[in-house]
Amino acid sequence: MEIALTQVILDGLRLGLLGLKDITIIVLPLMVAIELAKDSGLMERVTSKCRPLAGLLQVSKEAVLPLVVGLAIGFSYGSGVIISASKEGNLSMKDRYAIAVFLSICHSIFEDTLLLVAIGASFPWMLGSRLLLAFLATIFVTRVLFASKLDEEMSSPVGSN
Amino acid sequence: MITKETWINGLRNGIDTIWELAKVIIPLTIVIAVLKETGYLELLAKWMEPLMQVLGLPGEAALALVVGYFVNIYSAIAVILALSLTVKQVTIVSVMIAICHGLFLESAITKRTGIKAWPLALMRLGISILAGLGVNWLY
Repeated sequence: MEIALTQVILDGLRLGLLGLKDITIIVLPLMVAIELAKDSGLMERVTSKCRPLAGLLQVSKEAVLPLVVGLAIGFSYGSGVIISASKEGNLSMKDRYAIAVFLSICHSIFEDTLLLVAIGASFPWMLGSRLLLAFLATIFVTRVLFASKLDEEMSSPVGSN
Repeated sequence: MITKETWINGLRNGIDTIWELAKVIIPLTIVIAVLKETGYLELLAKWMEPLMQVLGLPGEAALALVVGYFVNIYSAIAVILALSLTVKQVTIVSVMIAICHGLFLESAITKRTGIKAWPLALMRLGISILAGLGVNWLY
């Protein structure tokens, strides 16, 4: 009985370590790549390429930077950008809801996706389904929920309410 | 500007992430191995089977979903590692967890942006389940 339990624990440990090995191979280079992308100004360049998305999602141009940052790097980092952008008063309520809806469904696209791919999930399915659903949900929010009056009533910078 | 700091920060973030993962994954894979051996996992699996079947998942996958929804992706990864799932099943669970995870922590972050957190959390949960059904159907 004693020996059997030890064996079970060792088996569990082995599974965990093997999984960690696969994850390490992906996460270590990825984190360096993300840091390089941040410091090289790549985010700003990608953001200017992504400006046309503002039209599709019906958000202001100021909303694109937090979207791109959150999508690539992460929710907390992205909302950091939202919070500072909100304080500057550039983001309407509609923008903020659009960003929050999009990023809550789809953020840290590289890290989250690759972690789960490392343990066996299919990469195209992971990436495709999240992006598609984030776009659809955001378009629904901006074009249906915030279609008309709601936007005027609810748009005010964070500081004033 | 890319400096030596950039590389050091990247490596440090990577090591931090792996360490955070290790702290969750190693104990959890051991706990689940014990639950499996003692038959408790099977009990849960039997109980959850009717629900999970709709998603094309075995009953024990419910554990990965619950842990992922309410704790975080890291602990869901540990559960997935410990279960023996097919590629399709791992993909279904992964898509669902990627869309909706760490509800408590991430709702707290959402609130700081001046947005109501609970409708967003409900929406994520709903979209996650729809996505699971969709992947099961289309994969």
